[in-house]
Amino acid sequence: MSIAIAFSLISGSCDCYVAIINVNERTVYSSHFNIPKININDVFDFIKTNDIPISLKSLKAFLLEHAFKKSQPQIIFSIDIKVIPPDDIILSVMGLLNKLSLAPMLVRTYPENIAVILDFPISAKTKKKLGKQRPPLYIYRNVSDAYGYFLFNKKNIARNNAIYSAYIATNATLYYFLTGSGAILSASDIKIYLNLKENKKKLNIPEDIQIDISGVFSGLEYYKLFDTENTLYDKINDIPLEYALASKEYDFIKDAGRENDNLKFAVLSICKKWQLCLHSSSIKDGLLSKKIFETNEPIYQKNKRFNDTILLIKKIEEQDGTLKEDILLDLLNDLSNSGQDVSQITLELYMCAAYLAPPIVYDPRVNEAHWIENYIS
Amino acid sequence: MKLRKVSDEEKEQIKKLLSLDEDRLFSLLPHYDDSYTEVFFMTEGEIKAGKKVFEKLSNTIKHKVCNEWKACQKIKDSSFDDEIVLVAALGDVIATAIIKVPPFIIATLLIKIGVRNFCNCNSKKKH
Repeated sequence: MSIAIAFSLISGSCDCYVAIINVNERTVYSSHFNIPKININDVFDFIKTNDIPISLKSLKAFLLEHAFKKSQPQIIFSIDIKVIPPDDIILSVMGLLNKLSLAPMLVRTYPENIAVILDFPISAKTKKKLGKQRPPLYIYRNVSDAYGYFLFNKKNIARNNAIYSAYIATNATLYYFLTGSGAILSASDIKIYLNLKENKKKLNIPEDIQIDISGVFSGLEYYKLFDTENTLYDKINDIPLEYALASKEYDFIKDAGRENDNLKFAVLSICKKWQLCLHSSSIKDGLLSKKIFETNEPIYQKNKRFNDTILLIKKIEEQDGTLKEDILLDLLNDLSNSGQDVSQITLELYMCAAYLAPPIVYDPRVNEAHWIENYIS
Repeated sequence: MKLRKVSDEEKEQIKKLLSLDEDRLFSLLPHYDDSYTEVFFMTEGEIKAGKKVFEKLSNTIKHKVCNEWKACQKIKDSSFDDEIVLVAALGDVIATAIIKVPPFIIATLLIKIGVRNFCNCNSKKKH
């Protein structure tokens, strides 16, 4: 996805920061809007009618000017909490986006509209209903702030948060890495990887002989390290301390109750310092099934090794219509309980994901995001 | 009390260690213990293993720090109000007994746990 629109919203406030990013053209448009609170019932009313409230007209004009010339952008909301009051401004923004056919409004309300729950992670049932409509993404504000801090080492301000969030939304691999809830590579994983690589060099074992053990399966993600021509093999014993210090530096992310998110930035920091590449594949969000069935040329024709895995995915699709995370995991559990070795099929699934989406989360040689620094305050 | 000069490099290292909480300090210990060097840990596992390593070393540390160095009395000296100085001094004591684990990590852990608490200074006083 090369174009994304991010809305950075602070719960309870009327401030809405918007950023529209186009990674192909390397442009960012960002602005701030003050949006009065409107009750969810009134939002539903304006969706049905032709009347967009005056308070949303300037936001609408901004979106029409900068987003509509382009193909369908990915929408992302940068938020603090997912249960919100019924007059939170995110609902007005969602209503407007729905009206403009930029994103469906996916919310659930408590009885008598006491509170509203933002519908994420999006359920399989909702996905089915959406058809080809692209659901919005969500990210916690602290996480995109932390990513911005990782990139530019700058104190974060609200306007920048929208720009970081928009950038994250343009890179599916990065998005799944930052929002995934599984365990991440530990200091020992990285240390053992580097030691092994160093020993391979010392013993003159050719590079193409695979004795890599750095891959980590984590829920629906798979993480793997790769070395670069600049990778440092000295001071490997400093990694645990640097990892601990970096995880502490990013402790502020934990505010949203996501205990392990600071460790992701510890891993990224180590990768930056020791010049390592981090790859990640995710089987989230129906990525595999959606891409496989939308493409004219079946993926297994492109790469025969995925054949068995594709057949497995098709089997799941036939059963339920969509590839759901829980069904997939149930299936893997069933196979495992019946005594079958599922590690290969699991690995193949992640490889499929990697094949379909560029798996690079971080590459120290290419700072893909450097150009957005010009737009950061 | 006469204390050795703490070098700038040591100061920097101690400052870093002091910025960490107990769990993070425990997570460093398995990396210096032979029985864990090739073990793949999750971060929680590292902390648990670190506590075990500390437990294993605990008697030796107690003997050196509490009995021989007489920490309960020594730390009353105002020079040790500066945590960096205290870590350096404790580190020097620990270094004479423990080789593999960097002594400053253990010394910093003792400060986080509380030297008085670790050496049971209050109950010693009662006796």
